[in-house]
Amino acid sequence: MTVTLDKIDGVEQGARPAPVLPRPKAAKRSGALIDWRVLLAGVIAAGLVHIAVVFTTPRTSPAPALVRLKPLLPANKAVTMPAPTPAKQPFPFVMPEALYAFCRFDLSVDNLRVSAVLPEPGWTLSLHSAFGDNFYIMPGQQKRTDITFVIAPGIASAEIGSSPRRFGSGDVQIPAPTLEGIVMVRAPLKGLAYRAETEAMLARTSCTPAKR
Amino acid sequence: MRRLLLNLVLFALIAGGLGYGTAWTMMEHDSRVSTRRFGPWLEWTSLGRTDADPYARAHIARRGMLPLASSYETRYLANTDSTGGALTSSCEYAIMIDLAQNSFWSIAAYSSKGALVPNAAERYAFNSWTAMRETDGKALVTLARDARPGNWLPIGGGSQINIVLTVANAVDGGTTPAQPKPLPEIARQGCR
Repeated sequence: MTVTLDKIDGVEQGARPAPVLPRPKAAKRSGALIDWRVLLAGVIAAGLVHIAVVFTTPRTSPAPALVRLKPLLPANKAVTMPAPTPAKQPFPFVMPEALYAFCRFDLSVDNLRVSAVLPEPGWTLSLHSAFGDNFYIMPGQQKRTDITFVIAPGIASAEIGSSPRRFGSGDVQIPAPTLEGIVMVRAPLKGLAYRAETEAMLARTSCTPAKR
Repeated sequence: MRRLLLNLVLFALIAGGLGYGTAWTMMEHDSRVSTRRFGPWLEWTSLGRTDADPYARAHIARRGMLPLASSYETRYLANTDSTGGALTSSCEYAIMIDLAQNSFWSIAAYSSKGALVPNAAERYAFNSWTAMRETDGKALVTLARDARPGNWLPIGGGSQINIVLTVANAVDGGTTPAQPKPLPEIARQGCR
């Protein structure tokens, strides 16, 4: 059994009633200028700011690819571009040793019918949303592929009011997650000798509005 | 009053600075959530995909890129050599590419903001078709300011550069996955 100086045989020595004082607040008790609750609230608010910044950046970013390409591309029309150079680079980190055909689609009025030729492996046809997401891709195969399909507003773009309908049996319909976006056909260059042939194949890319 | 003001300023600094700072770091740099690192090469694992994580989506939008989905092709970005030194156009680098024979690949040099590096030779990239191969099928690409024999990729200007290696995930444009091979080293040969 331990014995303290204050207690001998369980009897308190010289015990006096302690005055009851109001408990001081944390900041005042330590005398600090900074309230720990402010720090905690700041960290929680930082978490909210973090989430808000990350989720709003795709919509608020000043120059996503679509915005960069808009001045170069009329809506719903195919445009072929020469191989990128430092002076004429459609967007950052573009693969330079390739020729490109683009269509900027705007589905607010009509759907868009796209036709293209993918003659060999390495060629790709890709569809991108307004935020740059690649929501559909078709790579070139060993055998030449002629493709035609229709881009229509998808479920995420139901705000336009009318739901997309099926077209004739020959038309594959691809739903787009946003009303605006980009169709990109990328044709890697195999060398100067193949350039004219590549350009001719790429020029067969077409985009035309299709009535809904 | 002074205490209230101080605490308000502190709150704003923590909320704004920490919140935006961590968001910016996650959107621009590597993190375990969105990226994988293979030596000097950095891969954004879900780049371009519709089910991409929010950091990858924000990364694309901030940079203004238009990448193909990472399920089709993988982009590896390097801003250091294999020893960890920053890639600059005042140095010379050798990259021995030994990837699957039938899969498409491309290698290009950019500025840190993704602009092509101007050069008099007007050469900005090599791909699996245009690169000259060794007898064993490998391709040695040399990045240097001045002309070099073989696959010379000019990097002029004396600034920091990025290298992007794009590799198709399937061979011959089909669905057969390419045999995984280790990514090439970026060997610094010397500096001015």
